[in-house]
Parts: sequence; structure tokens; C-alpha cells
Amino acid sequence: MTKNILAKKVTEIEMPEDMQHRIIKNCYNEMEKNTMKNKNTIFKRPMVAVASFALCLCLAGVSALAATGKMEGFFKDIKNWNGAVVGTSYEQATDEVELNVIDITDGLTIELTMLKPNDPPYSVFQTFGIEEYKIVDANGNTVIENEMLEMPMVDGSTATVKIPLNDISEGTYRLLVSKLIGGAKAEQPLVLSGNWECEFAY
Amino acid sequence: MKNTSVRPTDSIEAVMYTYGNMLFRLSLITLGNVSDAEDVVQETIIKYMQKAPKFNNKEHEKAWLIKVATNKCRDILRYKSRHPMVDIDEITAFTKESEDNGILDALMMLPERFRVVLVLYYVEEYSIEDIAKFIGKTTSAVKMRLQKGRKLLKEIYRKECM
Repeated sequence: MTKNILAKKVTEIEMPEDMQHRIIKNCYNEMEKNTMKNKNTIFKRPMVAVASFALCLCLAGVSALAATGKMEGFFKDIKNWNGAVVGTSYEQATDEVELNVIDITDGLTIELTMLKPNDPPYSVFQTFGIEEYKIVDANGNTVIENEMLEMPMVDGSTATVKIPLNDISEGTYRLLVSKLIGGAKAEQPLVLSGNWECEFAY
Repeated sequence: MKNTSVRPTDSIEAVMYTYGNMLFRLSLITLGNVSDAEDVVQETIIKYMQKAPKFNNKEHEKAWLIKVATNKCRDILRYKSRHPMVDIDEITAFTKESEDNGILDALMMLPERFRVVLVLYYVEEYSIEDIAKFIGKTTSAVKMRLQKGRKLLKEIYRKECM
């Protein structure tokens, strides 16, 4: 008797309709989420592989470039203390500009040759010169360290600068340049960083 | 029974309308908590959809769902530090007839281990062997629980009715 009543009463328990709808809706959502996850997995795996491959190629390219000694220059934002961009510089320009000593009779005359005159930033330069330089003797002692204010005009792909050689004795020296500077009308001067070196005998 | 791809989403309604009530009352009586019972039904159906097992027949399918639901109920009970028992009014709110709910009162006064066995045996009409498989106990343990549960239920029900 108790068993029958129990079976009857328990069977009478029914899930409310709103709960049914809620569960169905949640199940749909869960399945959809699952499908999206699968799609993402399907989509992402090859993407990760492609990205990894591209990265490998880039690294291989950089390594190969480094092996040949050629590095590409790049623009870089100059930021102030609170992170605001206040200017632009050009980094790693070593292999894009060549410095040659052409005369030492009246100071040190240096010819700057832009090796990529048709590419920015060189294509827009109207003036091109040395920003910072150092002259060291054969023993490695710095004899002159200075900044140049002169901004020579660009002639084709070259510009010629003259560095005064006051108070230096005869001997062999090396000119070390770490910064060049380029300019164009109505543009803020652009500083190019790199390492240039040329030897001369005075 | 081997896993296949995910079931088509229109099976959600089908399984819900066929087995939803059965799973709900089993979970509700086992857990004594409506929101936990709802969670168990939902998770059971999601597992059914995601695992998409192949069944030999409807009975096999029902047994699989009961097994999953009882396991989920057991997990909830195991990890709950307290077992909040709902007021019987909460359970009777889900019955069609509001009169003569003394038996449900009595049932909910029993410990959980007796409730689930009694419901599977007397309401879902499963054999002792099947119940043993569902709850992961031996047949003799199920028999003992049935025997003791019946006795306790009778005693409580009589007291309630008097």
C-alpha cells in the first residue's frame, strides 16, 4: 500500500515548464559554446602553425641578415617621462649610410653617402649631416668629442660635412660617429643612430 | 557504447521531454534541493549531447541517463559540506495534486541513501541489479537499503498520518 502511494506521489513530481525551458536554453548555449570552441580549435591550430612558421622565417631572415652584416633601419617613437610620444628617431642606420674621408687639408671633410636614397627617410632629406662624433687617436684616447650644428645640403645621394681639426698633432686617427641628422623643410630634424667609423692620417 | 560526434542540437528537446521529469524527480528526491536538481538535469543532458553515446535501445539510454544523474548527485552530496534539506512544501510544489503529501514528507525524512534506492525501485521500477549498477554498490547492499528504507518509511509515514 505504502509502495503504491509512494510510486504515485513521486511520479506526480513534475519539472516546471519554466525550468524545462531554462535547461533547454542552457543546453543549447553550452552546445553552441562547445561548437565555437571546436571551430576556434580548428581555426586556431593552423593559424598558430602559420604564425610559428612565419616567426621562424622572420627569425631566419634576421639571422641571415645579421650573418651578412646588413641590418635594416627602423623608425622609433621618442617618448617623454610619462609615455607621450614627443618625436621620432631612426635606429640601426649603420648599413644605410656610408662615411668616407675625402679631404684633410682644411679640416676633415667627410662625404656622407645615402645607400638607399629613394627610400624613406632618405628620400625626403634636404639636409644631411653628423649630429655627434668623436675622434680617437691610435691609442684609443678621445681627442675630440663634439656635436655639429652644420646641416649640409643634400646633393643627389650625398652630403659633405667639414669637421674642424684644431689642436691635434700628426698621427693616425679614427672618426667615430654615432648619430647623423637629416632635415627637410617644415619637418622636425630626424636623428639617425648607428655606428660609423673611418680612419684618417693627419 | 562508443563515443561518436556531438549529437545534433534538436535532440535536446527530445531527451528533455522524454526523460526530463524522471531525472528531475530522481535528483530532487536524492538531493532535496531544487536548484541542485536542476543543475543535475542540465549537466546530465549536456553530457548526453556532448558524449553522444550509442545505445542499443531506449532502456539502455534511460539507464545511462540515470547512471550519469546519480553520479552527479553523489558528487554534489560528497562535496557539499552541508546537505541543505528543503522544506517538503518545496517538493510538493512540483506535484500535480497538493493533497496527501504525507508520503513525500516521510520520504524526505529518510537519509539520502534510502531515498534514491526506493525511488529507483518503486517509482522507476528498476531491478536490484540495475540499481546496484547505477549507485555503484553490491546487490546485497541495495537489498539492505531497500529493506531498511521501507521499514523506516512505513514507520515515519504512519507517525505522520496518525
